[in-house]
Amino acid sequence: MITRRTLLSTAAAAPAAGLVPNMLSRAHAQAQTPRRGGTLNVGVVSDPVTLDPAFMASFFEVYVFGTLHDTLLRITPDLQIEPGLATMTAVSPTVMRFDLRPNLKFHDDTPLDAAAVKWNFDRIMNPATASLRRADLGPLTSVEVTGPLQVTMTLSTPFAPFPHVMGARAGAMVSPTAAQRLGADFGTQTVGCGPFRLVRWTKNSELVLERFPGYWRPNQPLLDSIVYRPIPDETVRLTNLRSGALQLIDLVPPQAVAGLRGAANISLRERPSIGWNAMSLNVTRAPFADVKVRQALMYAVDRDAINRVVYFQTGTPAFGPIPPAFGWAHDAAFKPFSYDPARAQALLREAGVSTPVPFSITVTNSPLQIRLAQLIQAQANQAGFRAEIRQIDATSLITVLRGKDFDIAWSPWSGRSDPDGNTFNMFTAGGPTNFTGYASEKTTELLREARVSSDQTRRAQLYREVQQQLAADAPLLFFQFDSIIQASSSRLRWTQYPDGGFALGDAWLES
Amino acid sequence: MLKLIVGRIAALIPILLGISLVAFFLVRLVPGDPVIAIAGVEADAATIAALRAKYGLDLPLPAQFAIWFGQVIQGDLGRSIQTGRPVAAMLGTAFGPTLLLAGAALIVSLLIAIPAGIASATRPNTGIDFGVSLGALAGLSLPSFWIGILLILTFSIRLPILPSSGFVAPSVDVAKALLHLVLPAITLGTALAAATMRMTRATVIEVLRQDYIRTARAKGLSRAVVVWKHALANASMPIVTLIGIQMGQMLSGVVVTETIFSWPGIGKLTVDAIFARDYPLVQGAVLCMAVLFVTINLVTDLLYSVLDPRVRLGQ
Repeated sequence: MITRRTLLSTAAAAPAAGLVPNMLSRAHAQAQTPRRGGTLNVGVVSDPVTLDPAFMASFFEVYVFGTLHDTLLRITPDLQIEPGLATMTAVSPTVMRFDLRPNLKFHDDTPLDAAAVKWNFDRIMNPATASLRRADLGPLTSVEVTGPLQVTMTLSTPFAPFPHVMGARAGAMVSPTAAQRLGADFGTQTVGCGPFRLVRWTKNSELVLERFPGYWRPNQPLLDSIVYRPIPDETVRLTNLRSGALQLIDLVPPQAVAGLRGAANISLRERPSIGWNAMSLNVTRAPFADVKVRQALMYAVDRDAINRVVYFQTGTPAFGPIPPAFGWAHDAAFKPFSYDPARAQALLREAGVSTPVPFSITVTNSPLQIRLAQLIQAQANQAGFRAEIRQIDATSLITVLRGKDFDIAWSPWSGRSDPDGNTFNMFTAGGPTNFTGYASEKTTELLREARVSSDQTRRAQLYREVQQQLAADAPLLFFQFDSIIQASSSRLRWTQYPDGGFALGDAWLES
Repeated sequence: MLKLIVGRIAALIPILLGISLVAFFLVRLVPGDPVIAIAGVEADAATIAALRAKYGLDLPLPAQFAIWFGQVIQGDLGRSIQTGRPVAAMLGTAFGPTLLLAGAALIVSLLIAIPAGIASATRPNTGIDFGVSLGALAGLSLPSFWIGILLILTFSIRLPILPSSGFVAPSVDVAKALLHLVLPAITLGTALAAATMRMTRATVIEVLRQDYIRTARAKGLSRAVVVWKHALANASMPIVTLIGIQMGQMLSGVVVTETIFSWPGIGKLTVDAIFARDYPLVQGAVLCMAVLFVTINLVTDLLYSVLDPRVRLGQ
């Protein structure tokens, strides 16, 4: 077998002998011949909460979403939209027609036709279901069956991110027959239409999927089965990868990256994520009700130091909500703040507040967040603040954010495949995830326009203006664009996604 | 004996009523609620209100308690808010692995503690005694997550002879089940062994000083018979008490071992439920653990009368 490592070392030594083209083509041929079979053991941080896409809200569901489920449209790893279960045709800016592929089936062998698609949307949109997807659908008003394999969706206003919504959780189709039969048990025995179907799920031990022979994509899936094992401790997860008990793990801690780069039989994968990391500033009460005090904090924090100390030089420092993964909308030159404690102190003097300005940093009790809070505390204290750290658990954090019971608080965003999902709900006045209390007419207006515009160049321009306005108003302290860091056995061929999800329909294990 | 058992079971009723009240109200004192935990950060106010209504969390607390307690009396612990599964089924699935792990850890701890304690007691202030004491100190001091990772590194990576994590039910494959049990049982067992060893040493030293031991020796009985038959039998009461207490503590302490080895037991299930504010599951788990705790105490008391005829005669 030719590994990438031996190929590279031989290639460096042998160009004169004319060996390279031959070897490259051999390696290429091998790499292009996927092998069917085998069981993939995946180490994940936590079990999913539910397998039902209508109620998925936890990050830990991205690992099973792409294996168990399939969506009307598909979002590629570079965030392009492709046909999925259906092709989409925009009849007008507010009317979309979806034509399903023929002979689609759910895991229980019931047909996935237009009636099933309509049932799925009716279920989500019914207020009694209390589905978390209802809000994702934005201005969708109706879904009508217009043919045995055709549905037509009508929106009340144009909605640029709609194709992305149809490629995510709201666009995942589940079996109506199974959902009606299983009732409250559907969340644990979900029947979808993805490349793998559920075999069994023992909470905190293993979640087992097997290949779905009726999957529509040719030659997929290649693996016979996937076993997810929840292993919360990062060291134990890594140890299991090294021992060979696992062949794929999520969330490699940044501090382990350097050690894994040269590790034998392990392949480390990094790719810019679609999310951002930030602290929310509570603009509804002192001290951060004053924009000058907020600006002072922006200059007080050294984002490069955070990137070095907390994230071990993975990912990149952040200044706004549009990460590098959005090639078309990201602005690499956008760096509105530099680390400047003197300027921070001058801004505090201009604000007329008495220094040091006391405030609390609310984080959950994870080692990374505590390290981060300590660093921000030390830097802020040098710039005229007096910061203290307040540690709580993750569920309390959501309560604290919703109740605006904080000065600054950890509030990262895992990201969506369209910039609208990274901005609209957080920065429009009264948005469901606007925890800061920020209300800017200009920002809201810009985000509304970006949401309805179908011109990508215009949207990119609008998101640049949004970032500038956010920098001026400073309701959040952005500091880091993460990398998705995952590791696998070097025998595994698989596709990495910028949301950290595992699709694995195309994954295969070398013999 | 029967009277003792009936009395203990009758005493369970007020205990469980008290535990129900405490479990119900204590878990609601923590900030956040199950709907916040399942809805995550994204849900809007309308969705949260709809979910609260769906799970009856919009009712006044006394009404919520009455509904839940009414179900419990009928043997229904309700459904987990997070997973939608029946709480009784979730607890049933999780108790088996925990009891298996606890039982195996107890065996490991006794296999280490009793011989080591006796060796130490019969040779006080010698190299063996100091060595055993040092081992016990290490066992007490080293956190079990560290011992667990060390064991995985040694027996799953350096010498890949044991699986590093996971659970296989003995009903599925006995050999695999045992292999998966070894490392977690040693991790949990070594921590328990330390205290038992110290207790064994202390009580055996005390018993060895008593007159009947001198008599036994004077009769010409071998050292092994004196120590293992005569001394250990009388030293066993405090050891059994300690083990009883440890079994109770183990129910709360097992969570670390379960987390490291992906062991689907009751400890991890309960801790996750607390973090998720999964009220029905937390309440159900606390009730079941209370029953188990009382049962362990009852078994410990019954063991006294088996071990010591004076306890039997005293009744």
